[in-house]
Amino acid sequence: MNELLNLLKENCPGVDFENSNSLVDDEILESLDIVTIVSAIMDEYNVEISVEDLIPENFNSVSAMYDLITRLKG
Amino acid sequence: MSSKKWLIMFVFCILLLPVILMGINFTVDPFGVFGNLKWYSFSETLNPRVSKTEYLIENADKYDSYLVGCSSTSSYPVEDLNKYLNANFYNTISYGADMFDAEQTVKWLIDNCTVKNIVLNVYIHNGVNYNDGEDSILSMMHYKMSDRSAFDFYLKYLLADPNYALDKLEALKNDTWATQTFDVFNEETGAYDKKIRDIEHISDMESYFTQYPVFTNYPVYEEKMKNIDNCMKSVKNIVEMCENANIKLYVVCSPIYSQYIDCFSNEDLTEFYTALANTTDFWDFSYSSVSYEPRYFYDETHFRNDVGSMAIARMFNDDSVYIPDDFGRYITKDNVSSLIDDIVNRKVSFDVSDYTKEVPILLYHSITAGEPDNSGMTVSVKAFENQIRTLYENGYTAVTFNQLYDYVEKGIDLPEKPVLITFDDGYLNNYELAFPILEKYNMNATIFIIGVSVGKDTYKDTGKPMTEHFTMEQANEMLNSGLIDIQSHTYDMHQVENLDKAPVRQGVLKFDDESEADYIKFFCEDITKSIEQIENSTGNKVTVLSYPYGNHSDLSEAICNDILGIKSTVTTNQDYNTIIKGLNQSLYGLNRIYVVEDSNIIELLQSYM
Amino acid sequence: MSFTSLSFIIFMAVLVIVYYIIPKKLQWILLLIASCSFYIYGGGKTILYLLFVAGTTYCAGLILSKLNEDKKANIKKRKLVVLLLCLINFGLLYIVKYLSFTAEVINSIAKTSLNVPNLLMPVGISFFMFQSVGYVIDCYRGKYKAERNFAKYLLFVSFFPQIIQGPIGRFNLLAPQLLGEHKLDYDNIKYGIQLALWGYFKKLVIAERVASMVSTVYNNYYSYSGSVLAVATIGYSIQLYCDFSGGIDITRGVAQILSINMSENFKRPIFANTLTEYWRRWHITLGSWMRDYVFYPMALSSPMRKVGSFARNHFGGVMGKIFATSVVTFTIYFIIGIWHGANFRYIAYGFYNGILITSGLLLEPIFVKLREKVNIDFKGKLWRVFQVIRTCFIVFIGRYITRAPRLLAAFYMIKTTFLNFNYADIFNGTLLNLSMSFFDYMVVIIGMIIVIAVEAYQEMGGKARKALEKKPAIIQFCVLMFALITIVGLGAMGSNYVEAEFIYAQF
Repeated sequence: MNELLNLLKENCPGVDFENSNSLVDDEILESLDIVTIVSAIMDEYNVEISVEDLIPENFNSVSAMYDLITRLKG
Repeated sequence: MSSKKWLIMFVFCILLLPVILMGINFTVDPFGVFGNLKWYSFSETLNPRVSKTEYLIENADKYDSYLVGCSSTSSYPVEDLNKYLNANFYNTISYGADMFDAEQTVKWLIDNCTVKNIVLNVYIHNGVNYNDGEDSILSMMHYKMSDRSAFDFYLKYLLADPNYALDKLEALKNDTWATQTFDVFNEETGAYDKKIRDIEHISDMESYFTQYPVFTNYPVYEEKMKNIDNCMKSVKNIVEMCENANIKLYVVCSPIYSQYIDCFSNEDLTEFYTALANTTDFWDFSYSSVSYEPRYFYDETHFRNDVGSMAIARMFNDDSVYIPDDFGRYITKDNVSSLIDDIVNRKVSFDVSDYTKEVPILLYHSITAGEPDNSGMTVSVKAFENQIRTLYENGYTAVTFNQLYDYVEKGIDLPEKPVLITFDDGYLNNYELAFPILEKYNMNATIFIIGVSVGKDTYKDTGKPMTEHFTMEQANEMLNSGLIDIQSHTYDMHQVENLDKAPVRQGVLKFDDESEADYIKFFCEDITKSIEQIENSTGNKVTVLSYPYGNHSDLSEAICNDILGIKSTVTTNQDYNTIIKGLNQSLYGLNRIYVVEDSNIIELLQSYM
Repeated sequence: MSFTSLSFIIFMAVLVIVYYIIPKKLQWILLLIASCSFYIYGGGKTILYLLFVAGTTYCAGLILSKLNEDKKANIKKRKLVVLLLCLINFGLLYIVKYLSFTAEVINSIAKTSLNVPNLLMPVGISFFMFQSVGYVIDCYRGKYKAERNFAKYLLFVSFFPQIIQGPIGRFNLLAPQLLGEHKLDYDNIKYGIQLALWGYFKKLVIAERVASMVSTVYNNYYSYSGSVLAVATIGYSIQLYCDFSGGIDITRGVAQILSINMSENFKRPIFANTLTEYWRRWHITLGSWMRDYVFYPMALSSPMRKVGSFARNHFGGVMGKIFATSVVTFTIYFIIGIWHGANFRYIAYGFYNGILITSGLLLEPIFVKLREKVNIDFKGKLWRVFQVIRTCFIVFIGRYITRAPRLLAAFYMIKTTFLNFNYADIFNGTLLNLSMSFFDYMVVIIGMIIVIAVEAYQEMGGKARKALEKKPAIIQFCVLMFALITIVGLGAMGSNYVEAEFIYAQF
């Protein structure tokens, strides 16, 4: 989790990832951020995130993203 | 409030809207059908058919004779008809009226009013359109004149666009004496109110074309006369109705501009005039030399009021008025073929120089015995005599304004090389120095005097010195010579900054912060004072106004013509004038040529030719 | 049948009454009949295009759903189906919308004289096509199962309020509502009417009033000074916003009267901080369509990721990602530009937005450093105001490009605005000779103040219609009467008003 959080912070400086559970719904993260995050995750964790996975529910919080990664890995 | 209640309110509000609309239309009454807030010239402008009917219902007792026809009918002045027929004419014209409208109008007039005479204008275009069944609130007829139901009629006006009502309220606020786009009719006569249009300066053809480009590039398109039969049926009905009611009917065919005739085929023209002659005798003005003179027309389908006056004078055989020889003839079945021959073969002969004349008007101010100052307003007596002698030796004849009037009104020709000599301001030196020279060469001249300065050598408010002006006695002496005409240069609207007290009237224009009504009052009082001053102390009739500094406007011209009875005005625009027989407008806003100390008078005149 | 015509109002009144009277099971059939009649009334035979698009996408959806049941084997087949479907549909769009433009371009370059028959442009084709293609792609992604009943699917494609100008709906959000059963709900009817009235106000009272002024100036742009051009362009920005968002409000209002909630398409773009945000608030459904069906797939595609890693290796970490995103962003705005119309102006417009946004992305690291050095409160209100004004200004310049008669004219006009402003023309009466009276300007200005005030209230989280509901009845009555009189008096009536025939006057 912490590893992921650091990765996110590095790629999207200025976003408060810890205290929100609706990052996408509240438009804190926009499409450009998502693409940046997704490509970072794909590089870092060696998983394939497909377009179908790009739904708000998967990116609304750090734990949601973490769940996505574990799901894809598993 | 619950949503259900809100919805009930919504429906209620929707229903309330038409009620409000009706209330506005009823009380403001832009079309003049409910008798509220009466303003006929406004409502007639919106819909002349309906509003004129309303007007006549109320005022029919003022009239005993009527003009009927489309908009060109407006150019037959009711005043002229009243004079010849000793009648009270009302002009029932409406935009684009056809013979169906005319028949309905005549029927209604006979049933509802006392009618002695009817003048019916059958314009060539009446063969094209017939009873187009106009349904718009702007052009439909009054229900009393048509088979429309009263309920439908009033409902249409109750539900009319509220913008018309708002327009009326705004127009009421902006209404002035001058004609504006929202009140183009004269309530009393029913004709168009042309007080501004009929003072536009008309001179040479070139400037006329610039002013009215429509004449230079008139679109010729085909007009098919599909409705000659319908049109003539209505004419026939009108003839019969008038016979039965013992009404004198005059049928006239209005002048047609030459290029508009080209829109019609020869077959249609032949059929139209044959059919009309078979239906009734009529006065034809449609084709003559007049058709070839654009200056006799406002546009390609409307001839000028002055042409209407000539036509009426022809009908009533008035020899004192100028009428082109070939203008107007009485057509019956027997001689219609000659008319058709002329029109189809375009047989016409005329020479523009027979009815137009180039007249230069010279402008002097002060004459001095010594050296002229460098204001350009002073000419030395030596130079002046030289200029007058040169004119004399070159065969110029100095003419008077009365001669111009005779030329325009009666067609009395001017001398071959006419010139008009004028002096502005009325300086004593005009009397002392110029007058003897004019006498010597027997040259006429007109002096425009400033009423307040007569006999003075100081400004009335400041007492500062000015060039001395001659007295009324001296004016009288000059008048008695028969050479000099004394006319008005205003009473006191020729003021000078710093020499007169504020507000300074530098010419007759309206101040920006002055209301039009105040201005008209002031201007009229000033000119009337000037006219009375001259007429009372000399008996000379005042008919000309020279504008101080040349400043003038459409409004000032219209006031001069319409209220003050001035027949001619002169400005300081430097040019020749073309005076046109039968066209009083050619006497308005006349140009004048400045003459200065070293002017070579012949070269000067030629430079403007 | 235009939303602003009386016949539409009558159509709606009849529809609403019948809609809530008939058995609820039949409601969707009524909507389908109404939608098809609406389309035929306005577009006649062009309904064939609509049927074609609906037919092909319906079949593609069914095939994809079938293939999806067997997950692994058919990935290539699925791709092929989507590819074919897109080719057929966008090919059709290309033919009706862009073919004559292509011919013109070829003709001017190769000096040929290709002739393209003038095809009837089906109303709203870009909108319903994007909507149906989105549906097919969702089927491909397995987001939901395809609709089996063609009539039901046809209703989704042809639903009349949205057919002319969107919003571009999503099947999973819209279809259940369209096909569902709705009982009479006074709240919905009230809110719907209010929203529609708001739309009519923007469209009829404001947008149509400035339109004539804008076209007067743009048709003779060379005879006006910069200040007049600027006023006309502000006018055009107002016209465009009020016309489009007003139209959408009417659409959503009408749908709400039928108890159907449609996606928002505008979120007060006037208050956007940045150009990117502006595009997130303007024409939202097109933006999100682009994001889901073009941007994400492109950005995550392997070629793009290769570009990304190439850039990362050469320019360093963050820069690499930004570079890849920039390429995609640029492409998106290019497509959005073309989507608006077949003309170089729109292509240039796409370029303009693409360049500004990508350069913003590329320069972001520099801005970050700059911001650290300058002593400005970047969270304060003043900074926010500055951002809003800056964004409005950028959008304003862009408007020149979309409205000018030709691309070069747009450049000329922008140049004139800056080099020959001549602000005296604003006050010397020139503006009153542009087919708008002083009264009209006042109506537009006051109208815009009302619009902005209401939007500012919403921006701060207020709910205008809910707030109005709590006010006393008399105030609600006054507001309603004011709205109706303004819309009818200054909007609807005004456009039908024929001025008296002064042409004949005075002869």
